[in-house]
Amino acid sequence: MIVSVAKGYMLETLRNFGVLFGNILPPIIFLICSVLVKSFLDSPETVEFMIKGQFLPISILLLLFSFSLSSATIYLAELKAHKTFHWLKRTDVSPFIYFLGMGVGVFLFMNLLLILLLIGYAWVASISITSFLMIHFICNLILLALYPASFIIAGIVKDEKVAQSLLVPGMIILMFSITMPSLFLTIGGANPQDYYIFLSWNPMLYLFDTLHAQLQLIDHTWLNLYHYALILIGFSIIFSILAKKIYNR
Amino acid sequence: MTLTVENLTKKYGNTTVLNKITGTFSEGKCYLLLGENGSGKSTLARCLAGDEPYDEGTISLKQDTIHFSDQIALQYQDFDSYPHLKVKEVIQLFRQLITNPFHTDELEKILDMDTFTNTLIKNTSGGQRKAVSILLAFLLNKPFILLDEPFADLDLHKKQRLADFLQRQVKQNNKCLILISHEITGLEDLFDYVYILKNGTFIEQGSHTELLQKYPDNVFPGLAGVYFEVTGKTLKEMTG
Repeated sequence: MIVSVAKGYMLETLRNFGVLFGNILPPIIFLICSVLVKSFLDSPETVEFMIKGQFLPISILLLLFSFSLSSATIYLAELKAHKTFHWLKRTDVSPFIYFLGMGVGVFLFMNLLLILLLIGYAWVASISITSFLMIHFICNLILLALYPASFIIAGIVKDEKVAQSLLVPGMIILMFSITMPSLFLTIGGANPQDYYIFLSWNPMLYLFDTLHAQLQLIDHTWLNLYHYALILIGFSIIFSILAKKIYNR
Repeated sequence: MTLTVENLTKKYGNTTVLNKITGTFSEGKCYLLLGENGSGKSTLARCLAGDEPYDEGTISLKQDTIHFSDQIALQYQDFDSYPHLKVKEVIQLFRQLITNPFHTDELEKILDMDTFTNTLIKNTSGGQRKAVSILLAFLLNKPFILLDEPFADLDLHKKQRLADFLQRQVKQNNKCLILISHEITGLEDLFDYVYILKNGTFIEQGSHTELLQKYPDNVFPGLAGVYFEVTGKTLKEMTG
């Protein structure tokens, strides 16, 4: 049953060209920008800093947001609007199996695109194998934390249009609450990590900080990686419990 | 197994849509729900299927260890789910999500599914979506099946073939069919018992023969005449 649900989700996502293109394009745009910057700027150090400090993290944040939260939320909201859950509740598939099945689809899409994106960036900036693997690992932890949140959002909205309109401010908050303070604090000569406690509610913080450490932009992460793993698993458990409560209503 | 409905009341705000409905639905029988638009047929179907909470009354199965809605398949008027999957992929998906699916080969032929099996759901017509919906309702393999206007959009030949198929499901597989349909001419032998709804209440009920005996001198023949005698309206007016 898990395989059937995953296959159904993946086929629908692949055939929904508009949504698929919309999800893939933003991270690719930043990769294209990196290639262009590298081609036109003569200062290799500045280019490397720009790519690692801005383009690569934003690309990955967008990719993760699109595939672990946005596309799953819209898909679920569409299922809800079309009364698919009324049909599904009469089958023998449990909500948990459906959650896992869709999760497999989301996991495969996100990982495939992440590998391609990182290979693309490895072509324009130096990324070691260890960094490659560590980035991959933290991205999967973020996926684990954000994926159940898609069930919460889809559970409270009426249809995919409402979901989409909620996701836009959601994306802005999740992404810019991390990148902007970090940028301005650095410009102001302050250490952004001193203020991370105020942003610890945002799962993207742990990705952003790990990325900067893995790309040698900072010496060390705010907390240890295993702390991040525990926090993100905690997020995942809390979101899963909330999602279960919403779907049991 | 018998599904019993007692004093079922459903309200939307101050409007009472179902008013103390009482009736029984047994396996091995086919029931017809007749009533004009807004009489409460679809609301009753949704309450029976467990999709709609009700305000008062009870719906129960004689085997009280099972929840009634777990034993009922409701064919919704339309099927919009999985718009980017092909018809055959949707059927395959559901077949894999059901432990003991119904064998739908015959029904697929009756509904001409092979002519649009490779079409994406979003590109299918209303009639084709209804066919998918009917097929899935049977695929679920539940003892009680609620069908909402299953004969609409079908030509006379297909109507008759579907009616024969439904009759066999009742007699041979002991299914309980509850049909909401205004297209009953020539298919009346299918129905064992008829409920006529008006303003959320059963205003008349009985077996096919009982009703014909009770209303012998009708303007229209068969159940259409009974319906006219009881409600003062024709079956065509039933759909508005």
